[in-house]
Amino acid sequence: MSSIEAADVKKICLACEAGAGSSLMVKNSLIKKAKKAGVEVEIVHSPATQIPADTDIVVTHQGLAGVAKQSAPENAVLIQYLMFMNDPSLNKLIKDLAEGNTITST
Amino acid sequence: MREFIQRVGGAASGMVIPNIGAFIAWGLITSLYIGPGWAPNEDLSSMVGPMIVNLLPLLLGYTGGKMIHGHRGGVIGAVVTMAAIVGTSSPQFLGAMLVGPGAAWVLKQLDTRARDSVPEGFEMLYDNFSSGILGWILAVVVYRGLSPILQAITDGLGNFAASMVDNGLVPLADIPIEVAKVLFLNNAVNQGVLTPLGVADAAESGKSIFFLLETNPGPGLGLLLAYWVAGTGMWKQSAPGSIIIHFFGGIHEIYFPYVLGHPIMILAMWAGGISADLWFQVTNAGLVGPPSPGSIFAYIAMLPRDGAANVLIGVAIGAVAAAVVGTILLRVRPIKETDAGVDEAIDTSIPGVDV
Repeated sequence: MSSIEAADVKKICLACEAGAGSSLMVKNSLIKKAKKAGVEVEIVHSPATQIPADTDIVVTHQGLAGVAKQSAPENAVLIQYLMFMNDPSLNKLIKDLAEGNTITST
Repeated sequence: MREFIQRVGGAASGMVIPNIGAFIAWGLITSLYIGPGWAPNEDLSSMVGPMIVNLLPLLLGYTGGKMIHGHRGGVIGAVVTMAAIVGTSSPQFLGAMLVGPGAAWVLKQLDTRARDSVPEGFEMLYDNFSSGILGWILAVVVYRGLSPILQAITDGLGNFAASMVDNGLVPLADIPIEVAKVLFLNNAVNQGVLTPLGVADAAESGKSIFFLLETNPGPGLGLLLAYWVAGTGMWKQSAPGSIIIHFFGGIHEIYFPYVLGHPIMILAMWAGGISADLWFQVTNAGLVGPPSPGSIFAYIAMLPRDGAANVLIGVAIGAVAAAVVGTILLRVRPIKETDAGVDEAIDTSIPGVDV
């Protein structure tokens, strides 16, 4: 199971099926949360089949985790969420980043 | 299997979604200027045919090629798509989605093998003529070899779709559609299958029921209303915000967890979807172009002059049916915290705990 230190995280990628709708929405809410928590990291969005090769953490819905795993870089940490708004695992990701914890795939 | 469909569907929607603006422009021009439109105009309506036959497939072919091999792939994808367009007599969305990426793949194979051995100073000559000559060859191959097959496939799909409409079977299509949606196959189903069918259908009759089947925001609205009324905990609290994003923003994904977390709620989606589709079928309702994203605002923009009210009534029927059935289901089978999957999500996200 992959894990990464918060300090090493440079790029987070939100992945959804088309890379146009829900991933963009969740990305924007994550950017807001990161800003609020004072976390400086690049957050992008993409289709689950075209995750950028330099992604450190892939964030996707549970229903797309299988596809995302195949296209994600080998060492990337995969964070899955269930709810599109205020999902605990997204809040936890921001908290871990802010506190400098180790982040592990879910 | 599901991942395979998600991958294929992802490729199809990856070609369609970046070009939705052109589809919407085509839909608006069609709804305004054709004979039965809002503001009939013979001169301006002459754009409708060339746009659907040439422009839209070329955009798909270009985008499909670009996905495989950058701009060079896009160019050869568009060239070879042209062969599929003139080699057949129906709008070639399927053909474009096959030959666009296919041609780019062939060029990519050639480039990876040949490019290193191009002498200094001849790069531009190689780039231009490899793409041009390969485009010529592949265009002839597609025109002679593939276009009869493409014609047969599009005819077959078109006849199948038409016979579903003629025999009143469209509402049955809702059963697999609702399931596919919540499994995140929504774009695969809509952009990959229903939008091409709808565009071909609307080109003939000015509107199509196929645009309404996956995109109807009514049933999802009803489901979320049911959670707002009869749900508990965070499901209830999050429902109003989700309604705004779903119904007005058109991001249907927002309601999928409310079905995935309590699978019996698929019955509410079927109730809403099937009753709305029955209404659409009986009233011969349709939209003039693809409503994307599936927001009520996109619906309003794509309304035909003839039968506009029927579309909106169908959205309302879907919402009411899903809300009623959903509320009953939530009362009879309340959502348990263990059903929610939310607790699980919290547990599994604790670092170092393997689940």
